[in-house]
Amino acid sequence: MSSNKIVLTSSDGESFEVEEVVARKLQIVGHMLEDDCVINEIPLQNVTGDILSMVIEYCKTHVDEEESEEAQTKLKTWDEEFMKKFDIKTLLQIILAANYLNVKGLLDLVSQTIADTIKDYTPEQIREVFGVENDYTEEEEAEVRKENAWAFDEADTPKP
Amino acid sequence: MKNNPRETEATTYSNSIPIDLLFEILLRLPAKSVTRFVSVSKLFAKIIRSQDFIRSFSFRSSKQKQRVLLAFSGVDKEEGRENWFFLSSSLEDSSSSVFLSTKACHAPELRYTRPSCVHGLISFVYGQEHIICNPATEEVFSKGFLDIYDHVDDIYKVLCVTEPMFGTGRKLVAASQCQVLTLESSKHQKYSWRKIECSIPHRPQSEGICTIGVLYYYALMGREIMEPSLVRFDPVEVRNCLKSSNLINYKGNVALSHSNFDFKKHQRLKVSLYISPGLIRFRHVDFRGIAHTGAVIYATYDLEDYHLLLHDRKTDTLKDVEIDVNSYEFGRLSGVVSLVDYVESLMFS
Repeated sequence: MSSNKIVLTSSDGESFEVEEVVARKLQIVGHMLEDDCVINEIPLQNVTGDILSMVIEYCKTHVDEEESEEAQTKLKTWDEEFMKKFDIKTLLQIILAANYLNVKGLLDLVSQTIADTIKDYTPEQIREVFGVENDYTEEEEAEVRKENAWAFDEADTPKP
Repeated sequence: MKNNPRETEATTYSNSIPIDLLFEILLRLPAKSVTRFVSVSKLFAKIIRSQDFIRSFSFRSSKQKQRVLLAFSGVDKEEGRENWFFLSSSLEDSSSSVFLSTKACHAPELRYTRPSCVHGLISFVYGQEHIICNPATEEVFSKGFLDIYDHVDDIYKVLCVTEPMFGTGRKLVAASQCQVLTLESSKHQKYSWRKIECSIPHRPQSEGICTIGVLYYYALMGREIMEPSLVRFDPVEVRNCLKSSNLINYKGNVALSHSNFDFKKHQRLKVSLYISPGLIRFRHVDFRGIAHTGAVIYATYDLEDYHLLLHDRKTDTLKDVEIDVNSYEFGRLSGVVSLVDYVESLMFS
């Protein structure tokens, strides 16, 4: 394996020097390297330094994915611990970064973490977190809520 | 998250999650959450109710670890009704049991009976009617004379075989009438039954088993509708969908003799089941199906709890998955049924 170093620069000018194998985990970088192998500094315009550093941390850990069950379990535990650090707003920035940088594993992991985080949210909380505007009229919203009234029950178990 | 001058910019950025990412996130939610989020906005409703989403949702669910749907029936004497409770549990880890929903049956003289499950939908016999509902979304689809239903390529079809009423005459040559209904995902849809040509007069005698989009059931046919046969119903080639073969005793095994019938595509495995000595300590065991690992699934219910027993026939080992039903206040339980291969579906939501 090549130990060539590559410098990744974030939108706010922060630079990270990483091994080429790590940088290649970002498929966007992988494609650039295939097009022209002499690049060693890559500007990444759609991602800020603090988010990029987290993506790099993920890629460093996942750089050699071993098949063995033991290694898989270890990685899974690491993934879980890694995800616990972030609040929902940060998770949403990571998913956008993972999408832009094209890191498949991270994209799956963050999608699942976001789903687990928001599963008990109210529609109001979803609107706030995702910045979605409620475009229902009051009557329409009441109608939709009525149709799906059971999904709003808080109790998850039958009442005594 | 670190507080820095980029904060404001970053927050605005997170406000515009592209639709494809939103789709991926929603796909990973339980059916209940997804249904609740229909109220978020028209865009959310459009994504969630799209055919594409409903299809991807049950596909994803079917690729997850194998789950079992447990249907418990409890009698509520005060209210004079019977309740069914639905619980979904993993075969490997019963602590991951998820309570799905409750359905009340208000007329105790007419019980919901014979629950059967196909691809996330459950059907009950209710008096002379059949009821189809989705335990994941608490939606009841319809009441009708439904008999067996089937799932092919994410299209649900209901086969209804109605029997003519007979007099006291001994020769009953009248055959059942076959009709097919195609279910759509939207509950606002109007449904209509389509009558199909039934080339072979027969009378169904059992529930159907659906495999690779073809439904099999046991029926009586022949000139006097007396010969036991296996019927193969293929909704794709509906014109001539009913074909038969006779059940025979072949060297002590139950076998099928068939003419004009190609079973090649649907190879059947002959499996002889025997009760492992480990199972004897359980008073009553019920064969429920086969796990993805090849283990045979039995169910047993004692006064305290419900157990699923996975018998690995190669190693003759028994795995006991205990499902704690007492943490839920179901009332007095009068029946428990486990239905293997449950997947969550968004049908009718």
